[in-house]
Amino acid sequence: MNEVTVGGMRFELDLSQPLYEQVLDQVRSSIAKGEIALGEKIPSVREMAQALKINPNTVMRAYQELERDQLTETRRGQGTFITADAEKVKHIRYKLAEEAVEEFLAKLGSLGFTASEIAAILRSKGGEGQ
Amino acid sequence: MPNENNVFAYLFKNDFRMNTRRMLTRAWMWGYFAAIAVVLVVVTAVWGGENRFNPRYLLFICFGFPFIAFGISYSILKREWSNGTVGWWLTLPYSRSKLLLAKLAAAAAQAYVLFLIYFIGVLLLELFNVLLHGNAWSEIGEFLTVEGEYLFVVLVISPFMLALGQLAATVARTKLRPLLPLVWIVFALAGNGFGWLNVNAGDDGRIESIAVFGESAAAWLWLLIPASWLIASILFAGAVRLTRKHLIL
Amino acid sequence: MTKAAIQGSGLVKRYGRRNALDGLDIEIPENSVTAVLGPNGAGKSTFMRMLTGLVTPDQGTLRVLGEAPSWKLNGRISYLPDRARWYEGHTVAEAIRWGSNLLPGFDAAQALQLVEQLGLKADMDVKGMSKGQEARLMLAMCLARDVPLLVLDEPFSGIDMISRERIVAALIDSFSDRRQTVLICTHEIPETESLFDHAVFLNDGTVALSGDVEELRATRGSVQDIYRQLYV
Repeated sequence: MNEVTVGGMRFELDLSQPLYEQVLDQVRSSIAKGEIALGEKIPSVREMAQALKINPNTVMRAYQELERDQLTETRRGQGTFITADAEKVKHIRYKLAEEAVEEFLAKLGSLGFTASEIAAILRSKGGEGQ
Repeated sequence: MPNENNVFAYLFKNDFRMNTRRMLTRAWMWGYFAAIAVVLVVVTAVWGGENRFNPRYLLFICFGFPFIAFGISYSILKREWSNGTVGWWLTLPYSRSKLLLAKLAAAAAQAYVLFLIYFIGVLLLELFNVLLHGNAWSEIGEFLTVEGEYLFVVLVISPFMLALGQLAATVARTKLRPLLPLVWIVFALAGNGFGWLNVNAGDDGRIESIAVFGESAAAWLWLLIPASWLIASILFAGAVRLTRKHLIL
Repeated sequence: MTKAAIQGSGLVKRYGRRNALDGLDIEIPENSVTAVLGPNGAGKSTFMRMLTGLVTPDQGTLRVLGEAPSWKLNGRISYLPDRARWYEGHTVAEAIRWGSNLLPGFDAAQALQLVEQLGLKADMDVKGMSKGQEARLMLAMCLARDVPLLVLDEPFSGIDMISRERIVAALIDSFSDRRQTVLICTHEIPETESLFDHAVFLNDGTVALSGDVEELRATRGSVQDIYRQLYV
């Protein structure tokens, strides 16, 4: 599917994967990357559904999940806004980083690399400064 | 929310209006009408008066009116299929009898309007005839009586032909389709038969009176009328039944 | 599982020697968008017609919104027939008047707004319309009804891309505005599959596969992929 930008957030949906998870993940990473600022309003369910050409129920489910994670808050009659709490965004950034690292480690693990070998590769690829 | 009482009126009006508009938009038909009217006026002017031509002869066309009633009823219904609108029509939340009765009423109104226009047209021609050739005014009264009798007969027999038209259109859309030729045979026979109720030629080839109104008219001829209504209602019930259960869509 | 809006069991419909439906067991969840998919002759249209009583089953039972199909029940169903045309004697405004006079739950103001949004004008004659314009009018007639069940049989067949996109947009708006059970039968899977909550794949008059689309995506891939797996 083509890339679509809605309210500053970039989306690229793959119809062979659950759409709800993709919408959720991509909003999360937009927040983490700062594509959408703290406290900013996000598109309504209808706008999002129209832009992505998907069922509003799917968008609704993703928005409910964001709300449960307290990444967004809905103000009656005004719409849904990204949280203004920088701590929550920091938390989400670290969570995404952890997920990426876990994935990376799992992959290298499955190729038979040990922890010291992995650390050596990281250093050789310019990670030595850390 | 549609009001139940208005639904029938609307269904009727909608079919009547659409069908009338279809007729009116056929420009070539108006050309024919105008040409025929001109010819008739000329013929009346030249040969009228001395009964070498009498507008009353034109009433012979009443013979075809039962066929016209059938045709209008048949085509109003058939059009739902041929125009691809039958799915909308048959999924309306109203009973099949209501839907079909509204079409029957629209076809009847359409046919009656046509007949009336024809009778008025011929009457005007007769008026022209009398004025131009200075015939007795009493001829007009006589003419009106004959027309009235014709009109009466056409009206009372049309329910049968209208219902038969609906049956023909529905039978064609069911498994009973092989029976269709039978319907056409009834159509031809009944149309002719009803014609004979109308027409009764005098000794000199002029139309003198109408069979049912003739002095020698037998009582059984009059009985034919309620009998035809009874059969018409049976035919209508048959069409309703077929649209309810047996359509092949 | 949510409540079922439509429940059919053991549905059989014979046309001559062929069984259009051959013991169909089917459940359509309430307030969701369900796609009914399958090749031509799989029994999709026969099933859709059964919902409105246009076709009666030879065997089996069918409950729609808790009732057996009948002309009375059609007051609660908005149905787009397959291969349908609109009355060629109408203008758009007359079509809307037809709706307000005959269809329960029909909102004339909304219909007018819909046709304009779909790029039509009230004074347009149906007779002069392209197939795509006519399809848009017919969809507007269906979407302007506030009824619990919307059944669309091939709303996209044989129409241009722009009409198709406008119809998809109108459907998304409609799904956002009201809770309604929606049933769509279509061959245009790539363009529409992102709209479905639930999918039922029919084959030879029975259900080959059915389920929640998101779950199907997680386990078997896109609806289009599944369609290929099932029918090629």
